[in-house]
Amino acid sequence: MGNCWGGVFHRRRTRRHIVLILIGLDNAGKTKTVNNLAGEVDDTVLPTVGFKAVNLVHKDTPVTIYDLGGGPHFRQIWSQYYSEVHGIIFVIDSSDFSRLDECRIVLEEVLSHDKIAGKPVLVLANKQDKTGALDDIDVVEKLNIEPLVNKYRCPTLVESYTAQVTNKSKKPKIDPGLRKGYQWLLNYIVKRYGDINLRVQTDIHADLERRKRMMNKASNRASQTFTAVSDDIATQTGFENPNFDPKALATDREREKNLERGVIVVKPITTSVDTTMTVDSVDSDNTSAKPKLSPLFGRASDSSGLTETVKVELESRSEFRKLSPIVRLKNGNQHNHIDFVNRPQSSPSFKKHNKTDSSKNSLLHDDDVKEVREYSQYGDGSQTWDGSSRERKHRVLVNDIELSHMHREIVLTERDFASKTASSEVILQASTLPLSARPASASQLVRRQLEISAQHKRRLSLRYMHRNKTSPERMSMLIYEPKAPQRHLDKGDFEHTAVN
Amino acid sequence: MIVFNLWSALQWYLRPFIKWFLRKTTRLCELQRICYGEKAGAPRTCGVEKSLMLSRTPCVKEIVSYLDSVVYGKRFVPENFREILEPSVSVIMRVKNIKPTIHGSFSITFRNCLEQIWSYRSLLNEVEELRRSQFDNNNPDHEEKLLRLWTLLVPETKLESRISKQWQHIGFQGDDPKSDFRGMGVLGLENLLYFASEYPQASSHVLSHSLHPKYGYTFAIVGINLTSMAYYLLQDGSAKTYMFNAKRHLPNIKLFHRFYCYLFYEFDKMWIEAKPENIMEFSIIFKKFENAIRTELADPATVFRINIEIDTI
Repeated sequence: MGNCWGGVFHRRRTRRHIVLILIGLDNAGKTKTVNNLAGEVDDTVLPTVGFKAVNLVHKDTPVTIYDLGGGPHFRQIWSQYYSEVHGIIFVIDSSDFSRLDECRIVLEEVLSHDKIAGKPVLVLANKQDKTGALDDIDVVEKLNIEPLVNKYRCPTLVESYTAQVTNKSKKPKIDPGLRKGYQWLLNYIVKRYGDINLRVQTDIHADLERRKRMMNKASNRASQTFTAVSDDIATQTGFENPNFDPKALATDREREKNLERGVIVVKPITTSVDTTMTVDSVDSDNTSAKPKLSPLFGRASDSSGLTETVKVELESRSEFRKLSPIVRLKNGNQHNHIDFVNRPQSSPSFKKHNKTDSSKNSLLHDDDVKEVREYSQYGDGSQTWDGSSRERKHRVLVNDIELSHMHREIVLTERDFASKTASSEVILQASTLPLSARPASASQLVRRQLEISAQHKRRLSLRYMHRNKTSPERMSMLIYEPKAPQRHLDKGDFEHTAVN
Repeated sequence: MIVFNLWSALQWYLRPFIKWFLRKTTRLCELQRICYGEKAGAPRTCGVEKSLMLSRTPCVKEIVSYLDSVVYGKRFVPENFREILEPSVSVIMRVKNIKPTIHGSFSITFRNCLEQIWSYRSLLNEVEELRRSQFDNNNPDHEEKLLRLWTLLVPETKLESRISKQWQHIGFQGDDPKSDFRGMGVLGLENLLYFASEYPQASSHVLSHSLHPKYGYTFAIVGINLTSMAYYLLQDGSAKTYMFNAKRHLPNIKLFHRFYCYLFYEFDKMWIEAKPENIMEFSIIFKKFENAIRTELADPATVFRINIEIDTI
């Protein structure tokens, strides 16, 4: 009950504005889709040059859709819009087989962007009216969508629909597939608006800062690359957003407020150097495609090279602790809503992996350091992470005998929140170790951890809506939501987390 | 809104009295006043058209609908002008009590106006038909035009195959330009082809601008967007100013192509002057460009001419 009221007040309080991005290959039917959503019938759809912004209203929430051109000339500019969007609509021309490969590459490119990973994605398999068009199931198979979205933790819905309006009625009806998908996407975003928007705002802020810095050109190359690496390390924290607990909505408000305060106070965002250019250069060093996950709250960069920034951050954190000791206490008791057992970090397979992988001790060391650092970042911000990362620290101690000394130190300092500076010093030491700063190892670790976390698909279930579930081959699609047969299909994951 | 409605209703009733009063004082009918008073070109022709459309005389209405049907039947071509227009002009002169012996010059100017007005309407039909016909892979005519466009724009490079990545060089999106002609159909292709063939200097100039590393844009699909702009300007009548002011030509498809070329050339100039950050600013600049063109066209004295000589030096 209290949660309901909390939710209501929460919603009332925040003025929401949802921004969606509409992308896809050229001639996929993006502009037509947005015309359908806006209820316009215009048979003269031109190839979009640049972008068009369309404003719609969804249940008193203003929704802006950026309809971007799909040509190869525009694709590199898409990324400029990624940071400010809450969700993605990806349109596929399912009748054009020759370009499916291109489509897959583009989709992967989009999802792997760290500003996109973790945001909800609606995939529309357009042009179902054409003969021989792939239906939604085929599209999922051909484009390899399932592993892709699990890898990048994007909650995804695949819908088949037809943009072409056949009947010339006065009031065109929105295709049921499109309507369903659109509703799903918006409901999903609305339910998690706080978290997603926080991420969006932080990203925008970081973007602005970066742009300013680019203007100033006041950063030297070496420090840039270094922070880029550390940035990279921090990105493995992944997308905590789906973990958003509805039960804690009331406390969430407070938490968010504090988080916001934390984000504002925390210096790293303003001082860290996270130019994508340098990150890219780091990427290119690696031969393999590397998934990058953005940290939800954008504090990807507490720039381990600068002690002063660390201090500032610590101040803000201790400030948080001062502000809300009750929240902390509550969360200490509220372990029941977090399933630690299923956390990827504490899963048995991960442990095993670590043990067998003794040859890669340096990598592990890197990993551990990162984890601890990540913990030091998130320890106070999100309560849900506290317990799990504590467990992880124990594991670290058990696993890595060589480095146990150092880690004990870390553990001690972590337990003792007052002496945070000690831990940061340790991190500094660790990161200056020659082995630990290797971007390749970092990427491998990120990937490994993601592979492990991919087992827990519940939260990121690629859910599949289809109109007739009766046929047996259709049932196979339920693989995407193995644990939730009782759930209504067109509701968000919200209910699911509530069940847990 | 109410004021506007009231005014139009009032006008509807007042117009005959004003006309009658002017007729009695000047001893000329409205058409004569327009033909003698207004300057040749858009002001005169637009005035005549407005007067004819608002006329409530049964004979004039009949003639208007007759000419419309001729246009609809695609018989409104210069060879037929004589047999179509002679009776129409004489009927109107008889109805309006205009003596051919005294007002000899009236019949000539009035005829010219009629030619322009209904040529414009037949042009509308023609353009609409072109727009509606989709680019067809199996039509050898279309294919030939497309390949000719390539050779005109990029004479130094040979097209490797019909479906090729090379099309992206001149600003098409995919490997096959066919999909980009959606919306504007063959009209887009015809426009581009005319621009490339009739103004080779200008088009290569524009194309080289579009390949600019910083301020570049996608030549072909920008061209198709401009086609749509030209098409809508033609449809809502804004382009009348341009069409009627072209002294030596009646409104026909060539004039439309020329209009398009002017638009493309001017847009390119504006784009380069605007120094956009990236192609995403296209919609803003395009809107600005359209507004500028519309305000220019609102002035009935506007004449568009491409000043290539000045720019290429």
